[in-house]
Amino acid sequence: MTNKSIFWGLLCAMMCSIGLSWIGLRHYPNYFPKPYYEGRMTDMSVPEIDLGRHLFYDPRLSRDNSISCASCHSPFNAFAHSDHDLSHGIDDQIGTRNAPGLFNLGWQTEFMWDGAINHLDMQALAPMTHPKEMDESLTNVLQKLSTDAFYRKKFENVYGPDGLTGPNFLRALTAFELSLISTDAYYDKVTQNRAQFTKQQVRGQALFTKHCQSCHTAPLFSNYEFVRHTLKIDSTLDDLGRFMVTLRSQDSARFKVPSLRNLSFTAPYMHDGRFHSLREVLNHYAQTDTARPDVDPRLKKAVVADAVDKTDLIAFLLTLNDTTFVFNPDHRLPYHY
Amino acid sequence: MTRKFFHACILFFAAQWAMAQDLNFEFWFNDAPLVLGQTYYVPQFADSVRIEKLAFYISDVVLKDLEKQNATKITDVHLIDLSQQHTLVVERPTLNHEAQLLTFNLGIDSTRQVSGVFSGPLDPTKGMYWTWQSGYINTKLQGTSASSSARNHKFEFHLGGYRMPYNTLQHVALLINKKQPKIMVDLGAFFDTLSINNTNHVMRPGKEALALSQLFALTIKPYDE
Ligand code: HEC
Ligand code: HEC
Repeated sequence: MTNKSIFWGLLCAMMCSIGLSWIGLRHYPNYFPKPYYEGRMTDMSVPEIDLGRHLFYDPRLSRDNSISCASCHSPFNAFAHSDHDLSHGIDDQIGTRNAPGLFNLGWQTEFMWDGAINHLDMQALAPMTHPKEMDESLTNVLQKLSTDAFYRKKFENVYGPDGLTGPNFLRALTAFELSLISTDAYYDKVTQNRAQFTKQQVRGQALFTKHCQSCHTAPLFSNYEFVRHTLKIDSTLDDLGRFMVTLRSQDSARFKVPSLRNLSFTAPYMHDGRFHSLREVLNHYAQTDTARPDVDPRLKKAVVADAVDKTDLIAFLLTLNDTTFVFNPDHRLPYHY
Repeated sequence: MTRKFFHACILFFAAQWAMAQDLNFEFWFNDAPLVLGQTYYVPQFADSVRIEKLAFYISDVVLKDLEKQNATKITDVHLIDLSQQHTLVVERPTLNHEAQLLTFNLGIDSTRQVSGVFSGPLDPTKGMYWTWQSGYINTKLQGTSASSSARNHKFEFHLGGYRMPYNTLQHVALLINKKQPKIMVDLGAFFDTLSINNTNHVMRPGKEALALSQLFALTIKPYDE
């Protein structure tokens, strides 16, 4: 082998690996809008994402080392909390809201059901310090992690000497979360002409466009607005949603429109997990009083009452499940544990 | 020998001069210097107050020459914490103009508030960040007061919030003494106005946080001897 061929071989390998990581990190189909976090999604590196992934699965982020982010956000549930209507944290305590799935976070500007968190970097502080969730402080967590040579090395590799700091800890988690991109549902395959809808799914899509698209806007299947739904306020929770953030009366009981991707994995539904099946959700949309003045007027159009129509609509909703995402080994528990 | 002494003298005075140029925050409770953990009498309410914690952000600190309209940015963000002596001095670069007007924001502006995590004074491990809802605590003031009806006579004010209409950011402008750029923070004025009996815990953004932030801004004055 000549020096020249070695050179070209190495160059090719380098280009491929750069190309692959580039595609892996920021690739999304051309019918997706530009992500809000595009800068971060471009800048983050594979080692940074991997560090964030270790942190996400690490129970040392909680007071008694029992609960990790993944305890409430399981990869096999599109990072929602399976079977729990309200989240379940440290010492078996029950929270007040349903843990949402985590995907396509880079397209969101505000986080949580009420948008209380204004930047993904700052989000992790909420569950970590919540007495019913992980009940720990960032300073303590850093202390615990600094005794682990594995983390000292990883932080140094990604952020340089003295890299194990609070801001870098939060940035690493953000990198992992931004890498959770769901763009390979059957719906996407159809949109990219790689597959075709059945007649039933086509009918379902038409119903969806007419009744649901205004809020659950494709291709993210949410416009991420805060909306006053027809759901009755649960008097045991008295959750006023967006109002608690903005303190404006018109925001009372408004909650963020959730994405409808991966619904088969994220049940139960709604901010308090009150519905367990899609049929229950559709029945709710069809039955409640949408004429109430406090309710978003678009909900008047969200009524699909006919039983066959409901079945067709659900058939379409199921095409939004992304098994490539849910079973992606890169998102799972890293083998370090 | 004399030469060495002479040099030492020059160095000494140069250092003194340089120090005097930095911005110094001094804390008072009416006529007495404010010391953490010490009890002060509040004549207005026949009350007593002990401060355990006082920390606040100042940002976009600028010195201006009013005649030439020159302005120099002194620092972006600085966290003043009464328990840490070195935070009470804000270093200032040598200016090529006369500085008479000092302006800064008390707190963190809404742009920085929504821009993710920062290192330095804005590092969230500094204890000045709310966790359950995004936002910096612009001012933390904690202690005990005889009249507080809360547990252990505590009072706790975590003042912040950047959303309208309860944006707590306060703009401060002070005419300062060129040679002795000292800034006085007089908590006496705060406790003479606020009845701890009625208000002893303000921990979230809102109307009360805004009112107390405005009140706290009034404790900051130029130093007059
Ligand atoms: C005890 C269960 C629990 C744990 C542990 C937990 N979460 Fe959550 N997570 C929730 C709940 C519940 C919500 C919704 C909260 C709300 O709306 O107020 C949520 C919301 C989120 C969101 C916002 C998603 C959106 O679409 O707005 C992100 C991001 C998130 N969690 C990441 C994390 C990370 C990172 C960790 C670990 C540091 C973590 N979570 C630990 C229960 C949990
Ligand atoms: C006016 C805006 C709006 C319209 C129109 C609308 N939705 Fe929703 N949808 C919401 C909001 C807001 C929520 C969350 C409510 C909550 O939890 O408080 C939601 C929640 C859901 C959920 C639960 C998802 C989850 O992860 O918890 C499903 C499923 C759903 N909608 C389906 C539909 C369907 C199907 C249609 C059309 C028939 C529709 N929506 C029309 C705003 C809307």
